Amino acid sequence: MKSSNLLSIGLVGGFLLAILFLAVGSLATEWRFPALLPERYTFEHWEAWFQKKAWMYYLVLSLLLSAAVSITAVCLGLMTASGLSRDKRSFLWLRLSYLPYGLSPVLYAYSMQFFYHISGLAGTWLGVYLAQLILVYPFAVVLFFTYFDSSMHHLEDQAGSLGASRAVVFQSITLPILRRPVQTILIQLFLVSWFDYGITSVIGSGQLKTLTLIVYQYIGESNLIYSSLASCILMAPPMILWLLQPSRSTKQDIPV
Amino acid sequence: MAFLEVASITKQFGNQLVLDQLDFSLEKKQILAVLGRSGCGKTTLLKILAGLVSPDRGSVRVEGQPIQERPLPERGVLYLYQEALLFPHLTVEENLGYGLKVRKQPKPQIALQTERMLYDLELSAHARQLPSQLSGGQRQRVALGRALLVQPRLLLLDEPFGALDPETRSNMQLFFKKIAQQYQITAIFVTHDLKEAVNMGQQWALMEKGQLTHYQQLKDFSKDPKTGLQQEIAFWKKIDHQL
Amino acid sequence: MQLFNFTWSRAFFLLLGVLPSVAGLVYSFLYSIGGTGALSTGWTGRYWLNLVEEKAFWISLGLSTLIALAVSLLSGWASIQLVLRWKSQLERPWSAPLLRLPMLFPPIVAAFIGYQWLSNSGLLARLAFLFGWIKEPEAFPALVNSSNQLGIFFTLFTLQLPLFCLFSWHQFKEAKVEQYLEQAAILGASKRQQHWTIAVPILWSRMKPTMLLYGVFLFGAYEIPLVLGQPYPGMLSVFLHNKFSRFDLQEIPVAYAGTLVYALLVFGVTLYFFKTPNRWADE
Repeated sequence: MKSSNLLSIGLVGGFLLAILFLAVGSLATEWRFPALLPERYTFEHWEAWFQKKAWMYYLVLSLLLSAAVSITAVCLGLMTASGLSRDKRSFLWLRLSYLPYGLSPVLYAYSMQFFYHISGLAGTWLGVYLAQLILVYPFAVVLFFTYFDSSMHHLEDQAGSLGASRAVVFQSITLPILRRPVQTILIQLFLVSWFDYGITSVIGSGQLKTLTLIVYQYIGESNLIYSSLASCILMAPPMILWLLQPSRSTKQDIPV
Repeated sequence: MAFLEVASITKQFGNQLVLDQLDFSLEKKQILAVLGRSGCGKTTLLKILAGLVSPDRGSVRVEGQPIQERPLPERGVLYLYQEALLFPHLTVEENLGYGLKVRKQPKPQIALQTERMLYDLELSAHARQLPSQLSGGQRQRVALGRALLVQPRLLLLDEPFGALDPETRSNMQLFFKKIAQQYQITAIFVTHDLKEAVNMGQQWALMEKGQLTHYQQLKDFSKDPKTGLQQEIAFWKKIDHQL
Repeated sequence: MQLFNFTWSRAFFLLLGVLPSVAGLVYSFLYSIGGTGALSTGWTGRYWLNLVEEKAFWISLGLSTLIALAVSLLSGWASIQLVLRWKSQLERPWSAPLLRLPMLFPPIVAAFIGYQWLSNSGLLARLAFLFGWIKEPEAFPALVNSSNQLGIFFTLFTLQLPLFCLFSWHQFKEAKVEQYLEQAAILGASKRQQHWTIAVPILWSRMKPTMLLYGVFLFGAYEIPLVLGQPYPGMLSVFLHNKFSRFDLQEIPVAYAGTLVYALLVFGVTLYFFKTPNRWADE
């Protein structure tokens, strides 16, 4: 075998094996040391999971929360980036966007917990939504900002000088050009929200549960089977998005 | 036997015939200026001469020896691009001495040679600077100096001044002529600029549709209507007349 | 044509993007000096003093720095070597999606998988048993929840390396390293010399900002150290989280002080980076 194939085989093999292990774990009845694989398999846990209304409720709510956070952040981020981009000093403003990343999300949540308590938002879905939005919105602005460069401005100006109104320019020039980045950034922000543990656990004050928190709860209980099962469900949306992704890389791949 | 002998070189990329049975030769210490429009196959020709691309048919011999037979570092054929390609992490001095360093020459000798080259290039004050701190013309001078220090047998220049502004470009042409004479360079200088070709060459060639016409004398080059030199002269004469 | 009003955009950006962070930091500061909070009895430097005198805080800070540096620098270095070795392979269209695979793993799941593989009843221990290297789970070297922190390191490193390969590959293309290598070869450099004197220094310098940025993220890693680390003192996020969630209310102002130290450290490092221009900027 050519050594150059090792990279792909190692990567795919390693990560697929990890996913496979989660799937196997979720189907196991017993899996004690030193058995390499479970002795028996069953779909009972999966059936139980999907039959339990509370779990389905958390799943749907988690999906709705992440969808709402990412869609709002993309819309607001797009508008803010467009608005700020025509001022040369905006670059300095943008540095402030990195503020939320100075802290890990859990500590960031602690630093703001007080405001959620006094406003009565702590322990509510609206509070968690707002906290996650505040975390991802500056990220959306930074990401979109790179696309509002001089060539984009020239195109918008050109359309404007041909008689298009602001709304028409945005709808017929800006949005179609940014279709791909909008998709990619939407996915990224969705995943940031979907994966979040720190903010939801602190601002949710232990009263709200997203799928990520449920996985942690199972891990804490050393429940291997349900940890695996919930992990599989948690990984399903990113997996689907990954399979549907365009093969061409975009600017977002690059952090700096 | 000529110093460089190119015989029946043919190169095809897909369906496109880029070089078609190309022949020419060049004597030592001569500079051949090759005039050609973009897409005429100039760069492919140079890459074949440097041994970076293999021809489909034909041969390239330097001092009677096929170029492909020797490993790249020993060929002594140096290719200079339009972009200076100075190593961004090395200073001017380090860039100049790079070829000597990889040949494991003693440090004092490298220092001496680079210092002398810096003087010749009129860049002594910039020795410790990084490429990003130099102007376009200065970078090209460093690239030329870096090449000259490894004493190449043949220098290939691919539109080396193409990215420079007109004033820097004409300064660099003068500078190159001076250095070429001082270091007795054998070179092929490719350009799409007629004036530059006339200025830089001691022999001339026109490249068109994958074929090369070689002229030993400027008057032969000038006589061929395909070079456009006659039209250019006529144009300026007319302007002069009007004035 | 200004599509969205600049003043409004800026006001909105400040309100939603900047103000909450600043308010959080100001509140943390006030809390840490007794200016606010459940037990506030007036301004005091006591909590800061408590923090500075707490040995576990410094251990935790050192541990976070060490792990962030080790993972970031080693995966950065390894990614450069891998990219230079497998550059032809990376040209293929499916390489980038494959390298993005680790992004599919939420940190909490990565931590769980790390546990499943590395704990003394995990997959590796079972394999070791199968090959007869160990006779009981306890004989397997402690990789998770142990003071050597290797479980955290391995898991973070495995997640980081493919992504860094993607970034190194992008830098390889962007910096036109291939052309520099060709130029070095023409000047007489051997393959080894091209690798060590041209490609590695160029890529290393270009990867520095990425390594720093990810170093900052790794410094604040929470879920993976929570599951795979030592319970006490643990990495900084875990250590401070424990302080925040303890019943002893006297610990909360100390935790806020720790949070500020953390934030100042990260801002300091980031500002230093922003102020130092890249000496090797492109021609």
